[in-house]
Amino acid sequence: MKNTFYYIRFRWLLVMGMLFVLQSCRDFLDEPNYTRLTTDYLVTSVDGMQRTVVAMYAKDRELFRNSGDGESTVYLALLMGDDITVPIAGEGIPQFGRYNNLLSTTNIVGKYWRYQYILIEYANTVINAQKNVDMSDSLAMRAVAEAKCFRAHAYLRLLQRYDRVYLNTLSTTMGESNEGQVKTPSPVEDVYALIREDLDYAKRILPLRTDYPGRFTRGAARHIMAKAAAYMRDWQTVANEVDSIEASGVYSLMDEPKAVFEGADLNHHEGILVSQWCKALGGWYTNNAVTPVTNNGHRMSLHTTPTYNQEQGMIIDAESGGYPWGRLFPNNYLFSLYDQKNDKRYTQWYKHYWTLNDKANLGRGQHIGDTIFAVNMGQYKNVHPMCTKYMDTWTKASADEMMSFKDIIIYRLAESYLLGCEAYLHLGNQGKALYYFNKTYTRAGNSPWTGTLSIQDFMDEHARELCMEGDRWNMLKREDKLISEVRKHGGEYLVDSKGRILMSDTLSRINIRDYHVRWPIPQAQVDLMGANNFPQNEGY
Amino acid sequence: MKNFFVSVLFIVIATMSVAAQVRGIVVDASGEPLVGVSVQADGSPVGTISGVDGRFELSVKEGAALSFSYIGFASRHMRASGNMRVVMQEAAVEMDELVVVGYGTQRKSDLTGAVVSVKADDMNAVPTSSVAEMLRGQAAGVVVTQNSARPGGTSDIVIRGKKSLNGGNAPLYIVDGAPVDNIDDINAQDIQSVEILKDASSQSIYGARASNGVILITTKSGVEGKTQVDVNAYAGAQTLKRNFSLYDGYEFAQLKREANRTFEYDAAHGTFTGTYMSDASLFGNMYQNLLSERFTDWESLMIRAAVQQKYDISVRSGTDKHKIAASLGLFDQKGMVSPSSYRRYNVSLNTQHALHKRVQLGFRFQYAYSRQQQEDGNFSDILTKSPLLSAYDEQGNMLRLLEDSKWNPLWNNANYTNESKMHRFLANMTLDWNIWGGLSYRLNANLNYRTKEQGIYQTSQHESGSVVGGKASITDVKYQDLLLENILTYVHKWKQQHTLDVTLVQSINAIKTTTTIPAGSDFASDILGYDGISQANTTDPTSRSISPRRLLSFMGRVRYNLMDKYLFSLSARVDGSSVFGKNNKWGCFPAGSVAWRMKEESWLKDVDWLTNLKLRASYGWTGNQAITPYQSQGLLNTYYFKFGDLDPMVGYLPSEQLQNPDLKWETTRSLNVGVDFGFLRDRISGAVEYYHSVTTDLLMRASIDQTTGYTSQLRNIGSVRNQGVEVSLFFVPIQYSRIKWTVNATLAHNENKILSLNGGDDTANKWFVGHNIDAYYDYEYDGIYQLGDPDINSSHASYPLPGDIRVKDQDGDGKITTSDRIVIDRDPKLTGSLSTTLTCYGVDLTLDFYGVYGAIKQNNYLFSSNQGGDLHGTRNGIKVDYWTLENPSTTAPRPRDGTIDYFSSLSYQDASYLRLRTLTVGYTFPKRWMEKAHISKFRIYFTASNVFTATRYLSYSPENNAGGYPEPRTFVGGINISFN
Repeated sequence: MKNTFYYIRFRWLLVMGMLFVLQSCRDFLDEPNYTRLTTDYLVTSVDGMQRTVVAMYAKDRELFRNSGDGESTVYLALLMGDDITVPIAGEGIPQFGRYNNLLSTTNIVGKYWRYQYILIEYANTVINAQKNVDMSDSLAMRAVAEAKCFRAHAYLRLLQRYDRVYLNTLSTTMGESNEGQVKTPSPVEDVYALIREDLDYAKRILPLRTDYPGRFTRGAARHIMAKAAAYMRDWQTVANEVDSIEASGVYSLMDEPKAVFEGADLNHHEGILVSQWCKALGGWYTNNAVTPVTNNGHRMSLHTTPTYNQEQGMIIDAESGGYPWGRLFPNNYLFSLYDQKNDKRYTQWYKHYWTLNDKANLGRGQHIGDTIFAVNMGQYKNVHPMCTKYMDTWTKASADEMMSFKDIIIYRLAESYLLGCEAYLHLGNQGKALYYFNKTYTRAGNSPWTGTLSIQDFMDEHARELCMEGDRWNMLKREDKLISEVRKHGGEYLVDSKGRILMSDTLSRINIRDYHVRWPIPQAQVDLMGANNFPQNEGY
Repeated sequence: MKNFFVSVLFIVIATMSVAAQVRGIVVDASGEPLVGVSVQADGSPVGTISGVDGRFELSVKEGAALSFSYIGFASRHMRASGNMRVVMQEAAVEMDELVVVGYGTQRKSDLTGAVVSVKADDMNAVPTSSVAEMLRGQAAGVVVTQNSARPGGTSDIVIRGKKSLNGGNAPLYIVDGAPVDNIDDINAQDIQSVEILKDASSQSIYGARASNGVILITTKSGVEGKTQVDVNAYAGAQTLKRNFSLYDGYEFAQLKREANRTFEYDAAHGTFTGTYMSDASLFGNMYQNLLSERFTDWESLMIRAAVQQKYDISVRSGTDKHKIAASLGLFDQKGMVSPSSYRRYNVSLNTQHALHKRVQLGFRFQYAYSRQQQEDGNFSDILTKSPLLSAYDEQGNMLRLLEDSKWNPLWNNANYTNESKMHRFLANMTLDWNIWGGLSYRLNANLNYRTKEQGIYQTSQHESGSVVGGKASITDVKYQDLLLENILTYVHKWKQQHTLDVTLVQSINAIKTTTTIPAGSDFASDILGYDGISQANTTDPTSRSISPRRLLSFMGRVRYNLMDKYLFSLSARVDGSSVFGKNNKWGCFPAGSVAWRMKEESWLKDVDWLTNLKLRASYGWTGNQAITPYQSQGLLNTYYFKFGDLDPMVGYLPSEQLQNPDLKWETTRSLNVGVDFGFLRDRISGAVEYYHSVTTDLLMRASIDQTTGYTSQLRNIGSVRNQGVEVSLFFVPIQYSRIKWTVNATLAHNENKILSLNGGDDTANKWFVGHNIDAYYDYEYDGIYQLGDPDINSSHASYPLPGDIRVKDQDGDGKITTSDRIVIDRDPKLTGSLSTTLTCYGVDLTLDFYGVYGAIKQNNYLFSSNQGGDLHGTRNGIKVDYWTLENPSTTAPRPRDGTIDYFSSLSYQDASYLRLRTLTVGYTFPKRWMEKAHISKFRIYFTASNVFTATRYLSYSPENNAGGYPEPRTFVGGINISFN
């Protein structure tokens, strides 16, 4: 009897115990967050807004190389497909370098679109967080101004390549998502109006000079404005912005062309917007422990150096260009535009010859220091003249290190000047056009141009000064010359004095079609928005 | 549990009294004495058990009715006589075998769901460290795929098809009542049985984690009676096999020449002329090697035969109050690629102690320590090196850079350390209390704790290490899993015809994984390796992540057995999980099943040729919560940025995946119908199952329009259907006293189909309505353009040349566009296994075949540049009959140094295969030879695994991914000894 009672009491305890667990379950199932901040932090404090902007600079760097991505460099695709370069091998070459098979599903087409819209979202978040913070705080205004620069820049990049874009100023992060709504292409004028509005704000708020090299400044905002206006063929705005940059007194050309790209740190007085790289935390950091790969520098040096080391008697060394992949090179048309004797750029920005350097592997009759003269195409590809703007003898621990941590100049004063030249030519002001033209032309050692300038003269100087810096394709497009120029000079066909074909890659001349003046919209995005609402660009 | 049954018998028998003796011997069909057979005089308490030599003595009158029973054997009834010889026949299908089901055991004959029991002996025939790999082919509908064949590598198990796109497809593993996240480090020798729960009614008592099936593992317990010691050991070698050829030096040189041949195509005249480059400039630094025919066989430099061995010893003993089982194990596998290796030590202890006649305490403890070493880089990096490159210079020194200026993979490997050390503790305590009659309570408390430390060091000479002066990282993972369960069971039997069985469970489970990764670079010396991390000149920010997962559950089950003919079961589990959105934490998973033992009906009872016939049907709901935590919250990623020379600044951004606060369970509703049968005294037996399951609210990473700034969001959308048929058959074609031949066959067909998705097909993820979850999406290969093809100029492809790949213009619009891609389903149509064992006078021969039919798999070896398939003439690869001007092939395109368009269309191969997985020959010495040494069993055997594979899929193994660690062919010899 006693036993029975004991058992019954115990069962009650058990039931009560279970009820107790039921009671406490509400807290138990909450998901505690130990190691990461939440999005609330970003949109409710000035500090959060600033931190977002800092991270956006890191995100912007992915254009030059995305971590976790085996090979592609989106930026390289922006340098291809013009009239002064020839591609040799590698990803994106057929699509962008030879206009063969450029499809809406091409990887880089989708990536470039995604990068820009992601930056736009972050910018929208910072800009729309204004309502949550005290906007009389100058730090908050700075953050918003920089975010507006990012947004304007991203929309400009979208317009340049796709022409057809959707204008979004809502922040999905803040719950303002318009996902699932009908989206149609926005009028280009509206996009331009937003760019102008954003940059006007930035010009008001941002300082002329910054203590933080690489951050947006008033000058950078003006330069982006000038480029956007050039895209719109709003030449008066271009001229005004370039005049303001010139008048600000912040920037000046380096004395020697060579100095523009010399060194790992390119934050010099000619640079207007410079992508920051260095081999340290924040220079391009990923925790290697997670995926033990390599340090994540960029690969521009690899892409632009020919595979000279495949020649007998050649070994990788820093003077020869370091580790090569050999993807994109200046062509003989570009070289024909230089005064090869007097124009310093011809010697300072290109490496034309390679000399034997591998004692252990010399062939019969070869000597260290002998210049390699190619006698056939395979050999010529190995020692193709290269553009040394991305050559890096500064940041590599050893010559064969693949990654480079050299800064990349996004915009520099020389480009502003040439924009000024272009604008004044269109405005019919030969005097001002000539003034800007001669800035770079004479810096290179040429005697000042005195005759009348034509658009062709401007285009030639643009080629000589800005080769492989990412503006050639955009300039040819806005001048309506892309198709005709590529048909004339794209790729390279080179025969030596003995009639041997050293280079024959002129596919871009054959392949290019009228619709290639813009990229296709990424197919997956057309599918998601609906082809009826947001049609694919014509021709694709 | 089986042991428990046996021990109950022992207790009954212990009360016997001795009088006039009847003597005899009990033997099995092969004449071997049987130990521990219960001998019982009918209708009296008198009984005994047979001794070590199979002999027994019993004091009954001659002519008294005796029953002989032994688990796994058919009972015999004989009249007592002076000197009896009792031959017991093994029960072909062990109808009354106890099967472990969720929260309890059941007689096999009482099962209402689809549960497969796998015997430990069958598993241990496969020489591998992976329990999952041992389960391959053991049960119909259980598909095992290898993740990695490296030493210590793991395999994935998928039961009855993939049901989830993002929620994971791994089944739930329960070891002795405790859910564990993997079973990789369990010593298979400790396993008593493995039960696989395949249908919803058996699974749904595990609710939210059960939709991918449940695998229950029961480890060996102590036995009452004589102490038994088992020693098992094997050792052997692993070798490499492949079914393709690589290019040799000459062939490779020719490929390179072809790849760099320049062609002039005159479309107007249809002429195509090719000019070779001169060898000197083509081969550059490799030219000397070509001239002197100094070729390197990279595969043989990297891969060599390696040793594998395993040793186990276990002790089992016990009294009526206390039982114990303990074991020690060592598994050691050297990799074929140095220095990869795996070594594991296992210790286990299982004890049960009766505290009181109503209270029993159980304690199980398992500990495993393993050490795994991995080689550097991708296996393909080595395999695909050009034979014209040399790894060593003429003096035999290893080269750092090869002639093509790429790093020597052997050099990198020699300057690389990657080792993981793992400790796992599994402690389980049970308290069983028989409260009152049929009412019992069990407290089940579990602690599963695992630590893993992975140290990686790349020396200052290594390709990546050289950049920063040596690089070290230590990944420290702590996993803890606490489980507390209160289980109440009530069994009531009345009027001999009704049995009611009720189970109530309340369970609380908290899991937390903590990962900390310090990393640093730039070391003064490489001597200390990663252990010298404190001396790094540059320290990376320490990475730390914590991933919690909590589960709160209530379960109830009622089983009712009417007259042993009609069986019913109803259950429901309610689960709350922390990983889901605020509004959707809880889910309810009910299930029900019925079974009808037709054979027990009066109208079938006397049909002699039919030994067993049972119909089963079940229907139920199960869930899947295997998504990573925090998917319903918006968390920030950290970025560092350094402006100029300033100190780095920290910034934050959301991830590209948009959070979803409404995330909830994936729910699978499934129907299972099955029939169990046995004919001709179970010489033929088996089961046929049909199942149909639909998973809804599929957790799917939906691509979202990127103008929102996000690329994807995890959502509950879409549904998947799996339906199929499974057949298991067991034949005993020959059964004499010393010769027995058994054949065990399984065959399964599963049809996996996506029924709906958010907004139709998702091309980015390759998910298509009406197709398998695993599908490819690519152009269809349609041959090679040949010189003189009439359509080459007007072709739909863009500017093809002879030797280019032609793909099908599916929509016939005259152009190859993205809409010309087709969906290629990957899943096999059939998987099956056939295992046959012949025992003959102590010799046993087992052949174990495993086959997959109708699977399609992309073969990266055939097109990808990383796997040497690109025909660029820079990497070696599978030899193909490529197109040249002189040899206009129709099977592979023209080599070139640039990208070959649509090359991947050539890579989809039929990955069907038939493999002789294991071949075992053993010999068991007759017991009488061993008796003096107290040896009850002595067997020696030889096993060859992966003996041959018939397949058209070119690779090291059709299970392997290209570039993966190659799967070895293993030959081992071993012994099994039992002492008592």
